[in-house]
Amino acid sequence: MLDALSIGFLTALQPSMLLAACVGVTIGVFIGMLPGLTSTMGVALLIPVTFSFPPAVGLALLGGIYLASTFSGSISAILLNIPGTPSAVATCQDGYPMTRAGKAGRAVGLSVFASCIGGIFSAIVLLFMAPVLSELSLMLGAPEYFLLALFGVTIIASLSEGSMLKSMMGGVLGLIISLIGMHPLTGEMRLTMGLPSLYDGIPLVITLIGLYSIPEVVNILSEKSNSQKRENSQFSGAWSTLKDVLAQRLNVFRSCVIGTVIGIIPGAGQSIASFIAYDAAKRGSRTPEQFGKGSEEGLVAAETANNAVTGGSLVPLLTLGVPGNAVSAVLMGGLIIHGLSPGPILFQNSPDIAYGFIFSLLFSNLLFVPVGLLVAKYCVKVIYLPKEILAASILSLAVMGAYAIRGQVSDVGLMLAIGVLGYLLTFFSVSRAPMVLGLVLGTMAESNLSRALSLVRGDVGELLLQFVTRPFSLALVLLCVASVVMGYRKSRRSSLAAQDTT
Amino acid sequence: MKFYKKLLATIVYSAALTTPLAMAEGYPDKPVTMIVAYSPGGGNDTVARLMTKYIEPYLGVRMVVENSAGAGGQIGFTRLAKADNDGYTVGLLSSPSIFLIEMLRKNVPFSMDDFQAIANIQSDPILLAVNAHSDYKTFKDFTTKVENDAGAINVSGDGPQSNVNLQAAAMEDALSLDINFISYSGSGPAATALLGNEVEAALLSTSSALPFIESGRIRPLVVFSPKPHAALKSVPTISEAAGKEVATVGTAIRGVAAPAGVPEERVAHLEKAFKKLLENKEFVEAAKKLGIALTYEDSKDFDATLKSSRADTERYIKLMK
Repeated sequence: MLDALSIGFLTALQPSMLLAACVGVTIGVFIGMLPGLTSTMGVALLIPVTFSFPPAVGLALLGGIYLASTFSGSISAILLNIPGTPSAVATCQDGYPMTRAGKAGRAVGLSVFASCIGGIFSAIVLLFMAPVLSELSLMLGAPEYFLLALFGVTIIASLSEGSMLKSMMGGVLGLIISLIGMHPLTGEMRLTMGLPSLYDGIPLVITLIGLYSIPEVVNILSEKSNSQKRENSQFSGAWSTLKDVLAQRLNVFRSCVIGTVIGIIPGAGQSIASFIAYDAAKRGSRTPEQFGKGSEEGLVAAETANNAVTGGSLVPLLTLGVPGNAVSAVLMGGLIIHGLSPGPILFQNSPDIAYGFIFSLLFSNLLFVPVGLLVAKYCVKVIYLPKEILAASILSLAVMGAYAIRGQVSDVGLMLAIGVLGYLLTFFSVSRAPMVLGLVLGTMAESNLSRALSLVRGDVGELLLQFVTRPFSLALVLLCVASVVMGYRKSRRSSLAAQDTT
Repeated sequence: MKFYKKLLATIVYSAALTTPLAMAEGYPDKPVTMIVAYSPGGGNDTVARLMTKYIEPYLGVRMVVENSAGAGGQIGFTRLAKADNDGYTVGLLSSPSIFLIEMLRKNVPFSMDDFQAIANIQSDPILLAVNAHSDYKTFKDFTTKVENDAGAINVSGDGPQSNVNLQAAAMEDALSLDINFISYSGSGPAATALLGNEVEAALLSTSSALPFIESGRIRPLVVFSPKPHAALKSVPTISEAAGKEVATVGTAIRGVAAPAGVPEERVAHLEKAFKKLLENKEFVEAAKKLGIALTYEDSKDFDATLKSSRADTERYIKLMK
């Protein structure tokens, strides 16, 4: 083991590996910032470029893209309220209010250091604990995935900016949209109106682009002049935020663990991890009322968790040969094309590549700090742009992004339709984050509930029994109950407090 | 000014002169696009990308993979059917998936007449596997259990409406078995369910199962193909193990096709390029490493294979509805 580790470390230190990581990180930062170019697409696009590279170098490049794009989705989230990648939706909640308060530089700084720490934590876990964790992950099945999704639903309340009812409406809307498309088990088509582009449901990224970009375009154009937020925004104090991130020890550690664990669970994904960490931070915070209004704790929690997913999602890929999420599925293709089959054999046959890759991930996590800050320093200037140019640029990026996902013109129309919906939501101040969460969780909850029921041949009683007899299921059931009870008590307390004051 | 006029005239004349010539002689003079109807990282994508890596010397130009994923392949296949038939767009067909789409769905905008077969590349049969710790040592152990406990044995597989699903239906029909088939979103998750003992057996594509077999975590009981698989010589075929013929209709056959109507000489050029590719030692070696069983057929044979696969699918499709 120690031998293999030192081989891996030395492999990762080779100039070609470091250069590949640098290039990957730089490309990744740009890919992540642009809504519509996701980590998955970035890695997939660059795989052919790595054909002629030695496998380890190719992987270092792809890994750099994965990590950096996961982080840099937050840059556009913070500056423009448009998540660059699905993982940055929770970042919008507090990042954008910080920009409005003239603290854009600080927000980007917090985000970059939080991401870096989350990424390093998960890479270390990947390095030392991957085999154990992957065996544990095999104990999770359809019932647990369903319960995890259910737990996710319970935190929707936590995302409400004001009215609980409106936030529930958003959540339900998301759940309904998630029903569009083929039923995951029966293959029945639902709500597709006979359009093949709806057979797979509405892709998450297209929803995000429409939901966040279009309302922003309208908002920018309807402002009378270049408003205060832009005059106030300065990019300063980014480097000094490292100590502020480190000061939130408990929050950072908790988010690291949540992110890594969710990452290991196949199909859960980065957005769920950052939402759960955000919720946990809010519950643990002394100032929960600041969440959604520019809370640094919320921002740090979301950003730490989504980058902690990166290492976690590689655990099942490298140890079992089963990808943990869409990006690692593409990375698996990248491994295979280089003649490496992921799984335990990889560590036996080519420890230099396997460990070299993990060490290069560690380096990439450090590399995106300077690259990200440098890029963000210039990006922050976009908010000084004349509003016509800014709005037009966002709109054209949105159209290109929607087209790029599947290369279909009809998706642009879909994105614009969702954009109108998004504008209506913001107009009636229904928060959009619960809707995104509902959309992500709906698919996960539905397919796993049907699968869990199908595994017990439709016997509901037996499934309920499984919920309390399987250890991880029981834990999740208790978490769900606790979450609901806590939420209820909190809302009662606040309504009592409201009565007292009147 | 005169000079510029002259220059312009020269450019216009030479362009006018060379363009038709280039059209006639220079095929191909720009990259050929290969449409893959599935997302990056899957079985279809892998074989396509592997081909692009080695085909350039034979094709004369680069080949570029374009993933047009969605609706279980329908979107990509439709795009291929409607693409310009100038020989610059080809695609990877996957049978029987393409027939399942055609037969199970309404208003599918393509039929087999819209495609021109170029070359068959790969066949990837389905195999039945159990966890390495399972009590089932042979296919007979499995069938005995299924017969005693009809409808109660959980078997995972990619689905729904997939080639795996079709193979499960054909097996149940031929051997009068009743299994509880559970759909997962791909062979990867189906294998994970087997590793975690969530199901008792799994129907997996051979290429996706090979790494798990090599690492000793799962045990293949039977392979659904007429001949033993090159990488798994000791695993019995279904007719050996069951003592009965079972149509191997789930075998994924992946080959290259173009939209119908591509000029003959261009089809011939493409066909020759793929034939030479499959003779390239490095390509064959790389494919072998990935567990891709290469089964080259020229355009005529591939066309016949597609037709017979379509007929087989038609026979069993009613079992899936």
